Amino acid sequence: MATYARRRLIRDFKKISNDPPHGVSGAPLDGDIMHWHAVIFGPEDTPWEGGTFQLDFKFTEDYPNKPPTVMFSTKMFHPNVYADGQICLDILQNQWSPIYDVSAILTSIQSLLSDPNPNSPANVEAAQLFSENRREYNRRVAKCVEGSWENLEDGDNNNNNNQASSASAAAAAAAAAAGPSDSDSSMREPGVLGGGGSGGSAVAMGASAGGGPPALDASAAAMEEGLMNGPT
Amino acid sequence: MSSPPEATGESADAPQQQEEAFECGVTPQANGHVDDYSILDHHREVRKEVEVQPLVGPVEPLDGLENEYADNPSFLPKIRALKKQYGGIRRVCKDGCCFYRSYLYGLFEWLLRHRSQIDEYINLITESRKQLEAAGYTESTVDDFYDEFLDQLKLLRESATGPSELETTFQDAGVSNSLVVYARFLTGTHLKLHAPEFEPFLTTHASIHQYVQTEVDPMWVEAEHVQIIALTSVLKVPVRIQYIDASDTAEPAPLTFPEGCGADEEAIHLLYRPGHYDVIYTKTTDNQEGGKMADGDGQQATNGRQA
Repeated sequence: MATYARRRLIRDFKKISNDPPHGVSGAPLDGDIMHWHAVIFGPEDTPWEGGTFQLDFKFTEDYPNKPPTVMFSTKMFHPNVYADGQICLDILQNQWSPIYDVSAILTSIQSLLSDPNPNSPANVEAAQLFSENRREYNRRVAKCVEGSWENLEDGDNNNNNNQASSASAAAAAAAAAAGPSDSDSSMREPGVLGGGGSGGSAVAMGASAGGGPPALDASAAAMEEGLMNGPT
Repeated sequence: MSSPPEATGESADAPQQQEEAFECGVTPQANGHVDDYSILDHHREVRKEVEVQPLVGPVEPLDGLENEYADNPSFLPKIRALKKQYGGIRRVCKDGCCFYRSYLYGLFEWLLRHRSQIDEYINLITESRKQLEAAGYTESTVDDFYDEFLDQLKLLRESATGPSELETTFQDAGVSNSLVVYARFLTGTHLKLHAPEFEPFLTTHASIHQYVQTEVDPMWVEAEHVQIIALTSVLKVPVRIQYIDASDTAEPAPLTFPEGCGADEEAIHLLYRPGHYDVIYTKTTDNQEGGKMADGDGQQATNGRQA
């Protein structure tokens, strides 16, 4: 039984490394295949664009028959995310199927970001604003996007000792993928850019602690490219 | 920072702590959402109860069932009637997969009694892989379950799995659940590829596709008649289901799937009580099994049925 979950998680990791879905990345923490760190980049052309949202995956030996516990470690403002980071998403609860792997979970959460379901709110305020005052909702989301960079720094300061080099490499790959498209952002403001700068360096710190110099270069370069191109 | 008023500054940095709080059923910071959490907790409690049950049990005499319903005037006569025809019951875990698991168990036992057909089944499953693709099961993970299903059939063919090992195989969550998952894919595939036949019967779903998505693919969702019709159409071994409920009749109501099949002694027999399926064994199967095993391994097969 143990081999089942682990074997599948190794396959999930290979898949997400070799064929990463656009704008997401994930990798096990060093030495613990049952505990993953993942990043979702805010989907383009949505209020979430530019955000770097971090998640924590905890698997049990019942995976893939049971879903992992997935929590945002970045503070979110979203109708279907609880204040503690818990996500209200059908496929992570009663609609779970072992057909879903980590890539599929991440892309589902990514589309939940821009396509919330205000009818089953985990955050009543966010759901209300989403339905009744979209302008204010978008403003709060933008703050959340900005906050995601500070959180990225905090998170990496706390976690970088556990971070596998492979995790950083995967994150870097996704950052590289997401980087250029970030440059299209039309909602970027000077103040927001400042936050982004610290986010970029935080990723570099995480990568360096993981012991992967190429990842460091790649992620830092990707981030910087995205940010430098931002205002143009 | 964009923190909602109820969130504390530390929350993002303390996932461990949050998880513990959540596991204990305490609602962390989610004011006004106690209900959602308590529902989740309740589900977890139910799940824990279910998890102590083995996925499949040994064959037991029906006396246990009779005792269970000793005080139930509408069920008891039906169980007594059942006892005339059936000698044993194999209880299957009440986890929402009971139809699939019961039927698959019956199917594997049937294959052990019809060893000459195992190759045909291996072909059938091999062919099914393309059908799954056609029905939209394109995820790379599908192969995990396909491979496991084929491997288990091959173990039957090589006599590595006999009747006594079958119980162990189906109690192994990894194997057992993989077989169930593939059976769900087979069911979903049949429904999607025969949508016009099934769509007229849908009441609460807009399309067969949506129905499969919410009622077939998710791991712990129970099978209804539609799923039974679909799966037995694919796997072809008939199943005779004895329905027992609170109706006034003194006999269980039997139905055989696929529809039109006779009440063959050779069918897989299941008992349905509201919300749950178990495998049941006819007395004739039990008594004459050795004699029926013309394909060989008869002795071994009988050993597996200690009802």
